[in-house]
Amino acid sequence: MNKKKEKTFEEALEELENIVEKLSSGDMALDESIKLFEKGMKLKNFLSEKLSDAKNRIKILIEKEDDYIEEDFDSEE
Amino acid sequence: MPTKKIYTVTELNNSAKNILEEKFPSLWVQGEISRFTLHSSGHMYFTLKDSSCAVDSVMFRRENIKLDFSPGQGVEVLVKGRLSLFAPQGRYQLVVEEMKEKGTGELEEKFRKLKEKLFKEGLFDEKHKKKIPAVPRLIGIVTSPTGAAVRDILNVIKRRFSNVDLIIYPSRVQGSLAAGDITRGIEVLNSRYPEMDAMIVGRGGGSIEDLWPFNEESVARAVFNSKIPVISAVGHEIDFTICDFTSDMRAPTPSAAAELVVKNKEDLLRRVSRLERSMVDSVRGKIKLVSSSCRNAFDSAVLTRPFKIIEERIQQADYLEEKLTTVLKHGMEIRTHRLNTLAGTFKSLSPRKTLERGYSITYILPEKKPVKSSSSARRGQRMETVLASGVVISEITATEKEK
Repeated sequence: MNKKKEKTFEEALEELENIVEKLSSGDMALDESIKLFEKGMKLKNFLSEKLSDAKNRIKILIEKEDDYIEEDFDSEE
Repeated sequence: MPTKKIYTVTELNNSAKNILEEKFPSLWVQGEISRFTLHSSGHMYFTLKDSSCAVDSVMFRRENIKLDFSPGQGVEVLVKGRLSLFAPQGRYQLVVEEMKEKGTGELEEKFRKLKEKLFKEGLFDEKHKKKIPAVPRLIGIVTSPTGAAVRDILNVIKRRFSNVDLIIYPSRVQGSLAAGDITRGIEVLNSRYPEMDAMIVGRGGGSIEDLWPFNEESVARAVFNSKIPVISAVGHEIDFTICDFTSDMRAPTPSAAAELVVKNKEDLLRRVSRLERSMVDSVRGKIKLVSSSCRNAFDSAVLTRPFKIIEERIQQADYLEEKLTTVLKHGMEIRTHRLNTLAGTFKSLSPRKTLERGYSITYILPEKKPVKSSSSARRGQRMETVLASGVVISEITATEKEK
């Protein structure tokens, strides 16, 4: 299903947390802080996008000729 | 009379009731039912006893309609409930919320033996437990497609973080063929979806016989061998199965399993915006700090070592302004007016004011690098000098070291 090897939500969240920690620790040159800030904003946008991407696919595996196929699962019975 | 507190009986009973309810909000008790009555209101009244003691108990209709067996005199049960006190009679009682029949001899014995065997093999060891990812994208479910469990799980997941894909492996969950189905389901999901983040294996409540497939050795081992983390969610909170022990995490019910695996979307959104805020605050604080130290530099050091300090600070301010503008252009979600304010701060540090006082800035051409030392300039190079009004281009005829 998800074949693309993009960053996971968790990885991005963790990275963002690290950036925030570094930024708040204080002793960093301003231009370095701003570079980090830009990176953090990109991560933040990525995370918000992931969260608003509100689709879930629900599939059920059906056995067919010694193999399985995915079919949409209708949860309303 | 001394100033002792004198209770009315009502106050006494109410105080005792409060203490009991606070101290025992949830507990498990094992015992035998006696003096059982099913009142016309639908509530069940009985005492739980062992060889020497007894406690009054009640199981209200709301709870007892969910029972899958009929409790009665002499039945050994395990109950979950809370303590309370029936104030009108000053009798304390156990308010039962869940009740489970203690397994009948043979099954109980099988359960105990298998549990002991697998425990000795180390299949329950904490060190084998895999972590459930905080934000999974693909979740498997091995359960009956028509059962209560799948409905409960889907309901929870739809209410929560919905950016998640689900694959259901339809399996029987009771009867002699169920264990084979469940085992195959776990294996099929592992081989077809190695990227799967977690799977929920379970079913809704039922009698000990109904839940039995989850106590089969083949299921317990398939759960243990799964590369994908397994959350076991069998029956109600009160039901423990061998599959629970070999799983990576036990959930008290299928809904609870879904809640464990799928985070609340609102919580995540809040967490992300909190991080954003703290990031903006730190950077803003830092910029304030730099700009105030710029001002200090102008105020104090300008007369003694004018060029070095001014140039450096001006350059820094220019650089930052440019940087911040880039950030803005990229549409980063810092609030625009806030950034503008910051940019304004830097503008006020612009060299113009200093130039008006008669200072000037000189750049080496063609790189337009500010000259800070005569050693970086060579004879014959052209220079641009920026004045308060206008620019002068000149050529270097000689350089001298500082005195």
